Amino acid sequence: MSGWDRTRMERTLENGVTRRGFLKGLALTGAAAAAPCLLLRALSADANQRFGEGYQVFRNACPRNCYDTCSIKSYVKDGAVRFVEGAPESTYTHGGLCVKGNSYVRYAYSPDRIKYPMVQDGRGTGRWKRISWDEAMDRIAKKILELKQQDGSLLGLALTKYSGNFGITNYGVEGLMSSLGYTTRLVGTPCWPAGIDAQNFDMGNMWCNDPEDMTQSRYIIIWGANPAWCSVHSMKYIYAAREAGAKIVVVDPVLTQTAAKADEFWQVVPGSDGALALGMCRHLLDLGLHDAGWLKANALGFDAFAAYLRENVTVEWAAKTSGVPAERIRAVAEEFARAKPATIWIGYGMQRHVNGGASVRAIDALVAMTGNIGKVGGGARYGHLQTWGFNYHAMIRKPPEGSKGFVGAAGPKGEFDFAQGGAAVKYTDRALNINKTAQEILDAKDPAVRMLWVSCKNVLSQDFDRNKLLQAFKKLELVVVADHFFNQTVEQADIVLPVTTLFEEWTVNVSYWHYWLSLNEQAVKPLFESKSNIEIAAALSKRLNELAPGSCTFPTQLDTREWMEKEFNKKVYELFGIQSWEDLRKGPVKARMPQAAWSDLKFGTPSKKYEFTSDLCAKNGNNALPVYVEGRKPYDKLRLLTPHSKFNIHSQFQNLDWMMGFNPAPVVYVHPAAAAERAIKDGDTVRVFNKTGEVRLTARLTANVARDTLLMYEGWYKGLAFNCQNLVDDTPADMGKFKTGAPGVAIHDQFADLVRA
Amino acid sequence: MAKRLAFLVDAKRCLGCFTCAMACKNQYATEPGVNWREVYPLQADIYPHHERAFYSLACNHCEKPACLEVCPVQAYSKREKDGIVVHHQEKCIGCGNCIRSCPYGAPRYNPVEKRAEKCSLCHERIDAGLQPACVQSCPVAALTLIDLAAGEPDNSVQFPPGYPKMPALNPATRFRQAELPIIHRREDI
Amino acid sequence: MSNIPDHTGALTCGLRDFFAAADGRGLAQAYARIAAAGATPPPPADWDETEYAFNRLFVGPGPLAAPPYSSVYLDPEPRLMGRSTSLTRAVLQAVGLESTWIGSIPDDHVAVELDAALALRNIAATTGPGPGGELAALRRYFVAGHMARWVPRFADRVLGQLSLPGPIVTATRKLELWLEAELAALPPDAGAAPARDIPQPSTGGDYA
Repeated sequence: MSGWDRTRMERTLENGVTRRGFLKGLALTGAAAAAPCLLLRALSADANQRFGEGYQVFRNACPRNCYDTCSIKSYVKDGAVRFVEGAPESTYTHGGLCVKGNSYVRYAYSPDRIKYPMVQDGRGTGRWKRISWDEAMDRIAKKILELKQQDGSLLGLALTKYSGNFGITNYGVEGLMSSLGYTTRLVGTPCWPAGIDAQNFDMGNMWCNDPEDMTQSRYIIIWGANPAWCSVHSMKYIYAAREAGAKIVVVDPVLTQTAAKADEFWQVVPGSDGALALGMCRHLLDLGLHDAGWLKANALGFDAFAAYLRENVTVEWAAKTSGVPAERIRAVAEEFARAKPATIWIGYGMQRHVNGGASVRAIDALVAMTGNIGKVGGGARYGHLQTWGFNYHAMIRKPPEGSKGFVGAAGPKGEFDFAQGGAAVKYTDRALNINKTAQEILDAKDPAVRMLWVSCKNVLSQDFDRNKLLQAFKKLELVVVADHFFNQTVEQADIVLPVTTLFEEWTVNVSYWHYWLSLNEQAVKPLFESKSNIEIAAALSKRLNELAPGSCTFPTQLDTREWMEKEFNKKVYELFGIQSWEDLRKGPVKARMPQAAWSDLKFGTPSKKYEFTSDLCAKNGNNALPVYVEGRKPYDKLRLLTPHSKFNIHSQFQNLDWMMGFNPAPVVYVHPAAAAERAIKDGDTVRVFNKTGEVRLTARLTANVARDTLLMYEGWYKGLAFNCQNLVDDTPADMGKFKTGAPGVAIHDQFADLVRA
Repeated sequence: MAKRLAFLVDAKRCLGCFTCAMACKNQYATEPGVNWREVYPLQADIYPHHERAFYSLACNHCEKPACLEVCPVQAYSKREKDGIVVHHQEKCIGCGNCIRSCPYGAPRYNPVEKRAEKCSLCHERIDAGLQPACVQSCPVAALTLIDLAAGEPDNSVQFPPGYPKMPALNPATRFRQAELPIIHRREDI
Repeated sequence: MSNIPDHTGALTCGLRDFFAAADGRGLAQAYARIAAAGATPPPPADWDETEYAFNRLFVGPGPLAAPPYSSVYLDPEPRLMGRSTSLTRAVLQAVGLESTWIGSIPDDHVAVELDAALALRNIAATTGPGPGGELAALRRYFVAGHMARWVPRFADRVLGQLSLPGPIVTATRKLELWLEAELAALPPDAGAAPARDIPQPSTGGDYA
């Protein structure tokens, strides 16, 4: 080849066959050439395999906090994931992901990824030094031992972890804490606890039908949920139901994307959903359209509920309270009762109010009194954990001998606390309310919370009352954060540890909505020096035991694949009809469960029936009946809603360049009338403020919101200080403590005003 | 008989979720800001609710493509067997003629490679018996691949409101219109 | 500063060690190697500020001000493990070498590419241009057709930062001069192709 031509050379290099002929006859030995080089070595024997002509395909699963938990196929070439697709074997994933899943290659290979353990000289200063894993583990281990020595226990060490990564082996983080001794845990869930309690009081468990059975629904009410954005894979079933003649009704304070696809949309006063549901119940009672036979056989306390309705609820009152026309309340209630089967999808947004639990109970009651529980295509759908019966081998660990801890009642540590139960113990972990993280850290004493471990969570982007959080962080002597990107929590960390993405570790995944099981294979080597959460735990345990033998019972060496295998048990194999986890290499599988939850009508309540009258609910500080509970009184001029965008899962994905390209900046949506009153025009920069804090962002005018409501979406934008949690206080919801350890948060009972900036 | 492949954009089903646009980026790792497929919210005069109805648009694989007409180096060709208008990136000299001539804005300028690029209907995937990446990924089958040689799809139009009417080019894309729900706004305010 | 080609490889090794340094001590040692290879401003007494800036530019944990990977500048998309990474790997493979970081750190990190340039020069010195000049062509491609297209943009990105500590400015300027010298040291090419594929400044798509 004479001269040289860049394009031609690149083609030669990229074409494996030609490249192997290139430089033939030169008899180069890699060793000789590598002599002065530090970072190069002779080619290893299997190098040619790495440059295969085609792709290697791996099975992965999206471990994010999302209904859809997609099964993924990853295409790897030259040791890197090149592109992803949805697994075609899952009828739910159906071969396609979503806007977020399709950005995964950008997520894993973003130049912004945290690469090495690093230490910050002065929290928030931006003065970072790289340290080795050995050094990081040494520093952390020494701090832990210091706490133990000074406090006599490890209650000064707190863990805050939630939904950043639902790969089952990631419960090894909780396992690490348990293997250190008794620690402080931020317990509860900001997400769905009020509704979980409500469904537990009513039915004895939170258990939704298979979403794929919605094709057989004749009537679907989507109540305070937005699947067109937050569960795109569910929409095909809703469309199919409609094509077969079903009616779709959406109830929401906002004209959401889902509402725009419905047959009928009701704009509702936020937090008035309980009144609306009770109004519908009253109307059905009056018309005798309740399923008396079903209720007699399967329900407890319906008569008491009926009496309550007659004395306290009218359709006119429901209309006045909810803003929905009385005529519609009657008409839709009748349609719902007559369509068989009929179902209601209860959204998590719907229960993020001070009366959220009561509202869920009222909606459950509407579904139950029409005889729609336990039927395919029916049900009060919220979520389920029926397919989560793993061993939790990573999570369930014994504390070292002689560990001291908290003396007091021990409740569940959250809805995913599968380690609960067992014999009474002398000591327990100390439980603090995750929904009041700031206040709890400020108030904790004997001992104070001195060290915080953060994993699968972004405290400073997601927890409430951000200003108070920053105050609370001042009390912490050491903050350790394991994460992928330099987010608002990492900014306030002392030590950051790089973690692996789904492509770089073995684990297994299921969903809290659909009924599928997915394997997550390790597709590529961990990038840079990232480690999975359990590898971090093992490394820390190793160092601790070197410094103080017996101080940590977590294994000091492990393989993520083995730990994935150890999560499987006979029950899981039977439920999914597989012989071994290896079967999942061929694709995801579906649980062999009846499509209808409660199809055997054996409820999990004390009476074994559906309980309109629930003593358990009363014992837990609420009313025994699904009564109306008033909403929160406004503390400012306009209501502020901060629900979820289609472009992110909380603080994940929106920071990626590809996503910023489609959604560049946060926006507050304002009704034109409210804007006019404040001389605000479309596109103006505004300041939204309330007693908790403020944010600055662009205003967009739209009648998708009511004139007394502001709407902004939670999320973390790369390079922007925007955080809606500046405006959200930590007022609790009415339920959540029973099943998840702490009450929920009235996220959508916030109020604010705005002004042109 | 030769096929005439085209996109059917069903705005009634479309959620505006951007899965299709991102699926294309996932497949081809396109430059930020250079999106071969975009999802456009319909303006208020076409659909009254702000950001609630969309057209997902890439290339229309016209019968008489403007890009092909004006390209000085034959960097475009239209496949006989299925009508896909392919852009041959290695031939492109970045003159910009196609970018200026296409009324639909399908060819995009890549400022790093200094050439045009556009959706080529995933012709390599099609030849391997697969769907285009965008079509495969759509969660609600709002974006599908059709064959106009087999007839016009039911209930569809070639030139919906808001979309440039260029019958001389005869774009292949077909559209179904978005619909409206019955809306009951709050009576208390 | 002169642009005499780095025949002994001392400057190449010093620059490689600098951009691959893991901490302040590594930076200081690398700087000493650079200084031994030619006139250099004196080092600072305290390397902390240099270490902080080095991490901010090249390592993390925040978004990198000047990512030291070719694929960020050359590929259609500023990402890691892009097409350029594969090309660098292919060049190494063609001469029987691989990066010790393979799989976990992209092959097109500037430190690896400096080592690769060193390797190609050593092979050329010991083996000659290869049958049909293929080895020379490969070396010319790597230095003129690959490194020369991104290293200047990388250097510009670094030097465009505010308040840079001296050692980083020095190392980056030396890197630019190193490249010029390497290009000048390439054997003359039989064909009519230019000695260097001069990249145009980009108007968009830069990783920012």
